[in-house]
Amino acid sequence: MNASIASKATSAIITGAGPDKPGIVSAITGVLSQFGCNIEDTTMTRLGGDHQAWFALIIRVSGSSAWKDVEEALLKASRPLGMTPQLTPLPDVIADHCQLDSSQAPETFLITVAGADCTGLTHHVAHVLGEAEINITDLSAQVIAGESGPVYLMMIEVAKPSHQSVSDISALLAPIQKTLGVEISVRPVDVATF
Amino acid sequence: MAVLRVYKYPHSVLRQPCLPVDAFDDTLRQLVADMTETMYSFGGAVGLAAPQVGITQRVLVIDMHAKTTQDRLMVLINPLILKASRTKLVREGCLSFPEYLANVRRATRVTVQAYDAHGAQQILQVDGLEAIAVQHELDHLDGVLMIDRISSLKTDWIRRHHVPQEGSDT
Repeated sequence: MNASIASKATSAIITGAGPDKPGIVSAITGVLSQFGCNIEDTTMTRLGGDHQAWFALIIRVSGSSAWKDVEEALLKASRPLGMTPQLTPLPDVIADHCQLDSSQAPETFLITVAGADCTGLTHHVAHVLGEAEINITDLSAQVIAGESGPVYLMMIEVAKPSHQSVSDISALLAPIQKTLGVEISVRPVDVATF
Repeated sequence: MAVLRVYKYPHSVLRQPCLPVDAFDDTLRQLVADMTETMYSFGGAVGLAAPQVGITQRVLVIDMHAKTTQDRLMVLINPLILKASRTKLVREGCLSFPEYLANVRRATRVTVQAYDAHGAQQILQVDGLEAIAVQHELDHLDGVLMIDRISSLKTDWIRRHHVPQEGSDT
């Protein structure tokens, strides 16, 4: 851990993964609570099927400056559970850079990709989106049971680009659909506020 | 009557938009009878659309027998939703995705126009599970599947604990 950054940072990212078992969330959040940390955003989920599943977590926290102590306490609490979390303090300049541009409309497009699993499928799609400067905000994938074998199902949320429509993005991804024989659909995510 | 093969995703027949039925003949009535027997062969199933058994015609059968005390076989040929109410989030399953459930938004009440197997026009008002079933099966006739209706794999796509089997009671 960079001591200079750690002493100045007001927020940090904690990442970790280990065999799924009861008590992991309790152990991690117990330490954060003890240090007065505020969980700003988190994704915690079980990866894999029912057997040999792993539990992964990403947490953005704020509210402490003693990040080295927090990390040591996290390690101490979670090692018995088989997890070795890492803590990365975020320099404020990066934290600021990560703030959403409030001038952009918070609209989202959802890209669904489904088909036979093949090496590099996620990269193929991500590469096309990256080249077009389309920002992925969420990606999840599962292998599901299909008619004659496993099917890879992936959902990617992207921030609505300022210059590309749903049909523009569909056209960008069409070659992948053709060459890899996967289904790709792009649709706007409807947001209704009542 | 016969129990037909139920096609599962990603079989291409499930993506084909179905053609309207134009002949209300014995062949159609045989298809309806076979689809009904196929639906009943899966004890927990309450609906079946023709493309699920490999036939790309606008035919569906629904019977809530497994979910309510009501026993009403609905045979809807060339169905068309005339009116739909406000929607709510419901959890539904599909014989073409037997291992999964999906959280989907559906209208709670629909008015549907359709023909029966003899070509008589009917206009039905259905609500609750019947309304959900009509919308789910009608999606099949347009090649639309549960995965097209969800917004998130993490929150809307659920692995089933009990996979429906042919010949099962529940």
